[in-house]
Amino acid sequence: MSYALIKKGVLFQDMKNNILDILGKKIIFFDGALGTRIQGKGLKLGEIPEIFNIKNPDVVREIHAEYKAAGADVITTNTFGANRLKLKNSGFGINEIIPAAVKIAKKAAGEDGFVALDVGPIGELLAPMGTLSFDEAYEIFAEQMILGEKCGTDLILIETMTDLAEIRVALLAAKENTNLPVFCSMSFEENGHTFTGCSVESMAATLIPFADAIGINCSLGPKEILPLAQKLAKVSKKPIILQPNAGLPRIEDGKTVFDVTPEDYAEQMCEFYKLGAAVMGGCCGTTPEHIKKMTELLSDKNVVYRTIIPQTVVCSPSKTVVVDSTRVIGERINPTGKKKFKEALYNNDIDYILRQGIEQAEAGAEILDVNVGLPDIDEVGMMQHVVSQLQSVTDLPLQIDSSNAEVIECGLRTYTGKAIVNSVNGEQKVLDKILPLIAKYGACVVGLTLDENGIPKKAEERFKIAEKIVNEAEKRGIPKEDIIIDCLTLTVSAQQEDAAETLKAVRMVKEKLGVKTILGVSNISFGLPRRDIINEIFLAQALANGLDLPIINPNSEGMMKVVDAHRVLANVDKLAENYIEKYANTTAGEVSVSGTNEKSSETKTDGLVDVVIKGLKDEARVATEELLKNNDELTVVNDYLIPALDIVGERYEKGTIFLPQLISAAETVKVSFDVLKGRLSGSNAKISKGTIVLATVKGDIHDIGKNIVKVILENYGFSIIDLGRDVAAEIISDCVKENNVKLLGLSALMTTTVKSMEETIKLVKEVSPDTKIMVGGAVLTEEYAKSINADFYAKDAKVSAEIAKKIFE
Amino acid sequence: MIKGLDENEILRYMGYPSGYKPDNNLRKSVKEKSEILLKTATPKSVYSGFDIECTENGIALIGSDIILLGNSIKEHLKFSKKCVIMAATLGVEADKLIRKAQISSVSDALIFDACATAYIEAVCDETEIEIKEKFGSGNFRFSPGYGDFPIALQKNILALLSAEKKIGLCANSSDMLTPSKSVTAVIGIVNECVMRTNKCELCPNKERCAFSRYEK
Repeated sequence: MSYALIKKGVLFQDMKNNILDILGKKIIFFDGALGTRIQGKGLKLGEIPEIFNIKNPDVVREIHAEYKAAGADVITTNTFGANRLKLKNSGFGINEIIPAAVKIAKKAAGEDGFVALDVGPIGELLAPMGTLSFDEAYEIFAEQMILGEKCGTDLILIETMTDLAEIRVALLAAKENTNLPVFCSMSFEENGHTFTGCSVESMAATLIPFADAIGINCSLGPKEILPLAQKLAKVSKKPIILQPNAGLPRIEDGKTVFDVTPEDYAEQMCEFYKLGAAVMGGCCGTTPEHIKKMTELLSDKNVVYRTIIPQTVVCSPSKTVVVDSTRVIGERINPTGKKKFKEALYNNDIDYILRQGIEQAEAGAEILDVNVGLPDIDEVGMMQHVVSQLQSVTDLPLQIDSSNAEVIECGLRTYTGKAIVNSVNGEQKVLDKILPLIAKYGACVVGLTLDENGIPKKAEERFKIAEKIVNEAEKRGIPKEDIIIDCLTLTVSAQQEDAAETLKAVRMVKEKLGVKTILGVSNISFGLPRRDIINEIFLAQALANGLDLPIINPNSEGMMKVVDAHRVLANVDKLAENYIEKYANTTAGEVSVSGTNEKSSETKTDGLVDVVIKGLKDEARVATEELLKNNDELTVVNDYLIPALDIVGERYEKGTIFLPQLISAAETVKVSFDVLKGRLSGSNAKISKGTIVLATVKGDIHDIGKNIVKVILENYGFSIIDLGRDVAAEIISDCVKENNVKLLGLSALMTTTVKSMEETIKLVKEVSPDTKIMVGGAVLTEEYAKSINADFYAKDAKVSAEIAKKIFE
Repeated sequence: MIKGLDENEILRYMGYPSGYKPDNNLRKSVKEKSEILLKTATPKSVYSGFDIECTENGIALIGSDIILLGNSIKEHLKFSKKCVIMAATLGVEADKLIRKAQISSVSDALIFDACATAYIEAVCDETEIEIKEKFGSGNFRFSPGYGDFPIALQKNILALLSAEKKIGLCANSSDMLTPSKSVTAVIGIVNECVMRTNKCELCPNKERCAFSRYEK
């Protein structure tokens, strides 16, 4: 694959109309540092450099002109922080700053030069780690970029990004709102990760479909960036842009200085040229002299040809999974045939779903399938929420599992990284609808070997459908390595002769089409006793026939054993290192212990009440089941759990036990409740004492206090609707009204977020005057709570339970 | 480089009274979680020194447009001609760890949260030592939100230190720091060795703060 085809006889100046005509052919030179140079020319500390476009345009113009004279082909506008949030208190808006900046840059760039609209990070962390929403970030970027294009910039440069989610939003905003080419780069630390944990490989895999050039800038000097650039050069299918600092920053007499001289800089930049870099410039600490030396050494050079070995890659920001051998996809986030999961979806119990994800990750899944489709639920909204929340607790790449195009698009838009979409099939309608989405967002796609006529019986016919899917995908620019074929597992008890056809089809697809294969394995044994036996053998057979991506339950030890053994036999687990580590000290039939499930042998217990008081979570299940032999569920609640909780509560109030013990006891009761709920055939109505809504208010992300309150309240038998953190007042008031809720609990950590608590209370009182509201949080007091119109102040979790008891008496 | 966290501090942040004797299970759990956190978090700090001038509204940082507002900060810097502004964070991974623990077990999350608080304090202590080596003796860390020192200055302080670029620290629309286990603070550089006061003594929130070292 070559990205350095040279159009003979085409001169640089002739190509002014579109930078894309030169990109990847001749080296393009950007300018150097702007911010650090303006600082040397009268910018006060903490002041926004962008206001110089208006207050001191000559300084900006002069710097641009120096870079132009030094040989820069592209002049970057002084608009790094020109977004509505950063300019908020500057006295200027983007409508003044951006046109002024572009005008100055265009003049300096001249007829033969290009102007890049500079776009830096917004300055706030995106949700769910921060509170800035995807949509708000998108709008902020889009308005800058639309304005930049209107003012006549030739391209957009998105740079110094450290959050993959943010740069991806910026790229979407650019591509969906302008026709400009977009170059983008992120800042890495020497450990190869950005502040938010993004790796070079993940950046490349994620941004390739959106960006015209991808690269690295700021933070490090050329020497430190070199090993990262080497990694990037191996995987980036797009031209590479590199703009290092003039070395690592150092403080001297209170000032930041950079040590790499222009000569050394130029020499070190030559290494990037050799790697195949297509665009080069400078970041902090570089001067016109640095750019001059570099252009002197490298001008008129063609971009060096790079070879890229195609690989099937999926990723999250911090984890890249290359499908070069068996990779386990966890199947548990799926309501099909799972009563509890369905309930969780209907009740919006996101924590339950997230727990499935965490458990599978711990059990060895490498990718998680996410299916949240159920009749009567908003699958689009649920997919968006689950994808976003899952990404905040696991770094495993996700497989978006739906047949609904709208759900797929929403999942892909929300997902940060490169996902798999499960699935399309051979039906033309389906291909026409979903493949464009795959191409746009750059995901891998699963193709099922079925079409409008159903699942063909014979392997050869399934192969034909697979072939069609591959052809259709390639037609739309989806590379072969991003296509994964599912030859479909059928139930062997119903169609016994089909198992062999599936295996045969897997082998044909793998060998003749050269694409990866995937199978949902467990379906094979439906209706048979000891399904584990059939599942494990079928998995082994499928792997032997070339299955790459088994979709299985990773919590099933037997299945994972098959995978582990296969990795040894297939010469993937070199020297059987992983296998030995995992199984060396185990014997057949023994459960391999990962070290966490030890029972505390030092404590002897005397029935469920004692188990609760001592907070022995691991023993609560057995103790509850023991009691249920002779008692009904309500008796267990009223005669054992509640009295135990009362004892714990009393001791907490007396100060003989403390918050952690109170929580431990509560969690122990929760285990017990789970057993009881299971017995009450899924309906917890019988033991629920009432419904309470809990939320951490808008703008606030500190939610451990709220979660403690939740655990305690659940224990006193209340059903909780947990709206999470950073929740808008409207969402809370809607939920309260819709569910006719008698008690609402709000949490806020800081004085600034107590304001949003006050607004929430006001709105809830308007739409649902009968709802009582209790509030809690670090800065609140009884009086403060009253002054914002709350009905109750809950000093701690225990008090919230007292309040709830009173309300629901 | 911080190699271990103080068990007593962690227990205090968890809500145990001082002098509480933890049993072996609790000690083991605290130790395990401290180690996980130390491996996962990516602590970073940044600081910068400023000459200062007392004005009517507060303390002006010379060479910048920023005034540290309020009487509390004036009081904090009354013996100083120079101050150092610092910011420190444990990074997003620490937040993720706590979030993840909350999904499976709130009591584990409480331990992680307390460990993280102890860790960020230790990172600040270390930074403070470095600052004092460089700038001479100083008083203690005074943060936005203490007394009448407004939290609304959070974004200005971050901009002053280029904290977003240098350590990945931002503030959201409510001026809450993200990642959440983070601190910004002002240390007054004092010429003579001024006795270190218990900072909790000065805090208007001392009566109701659960972690106050002020003798109520």
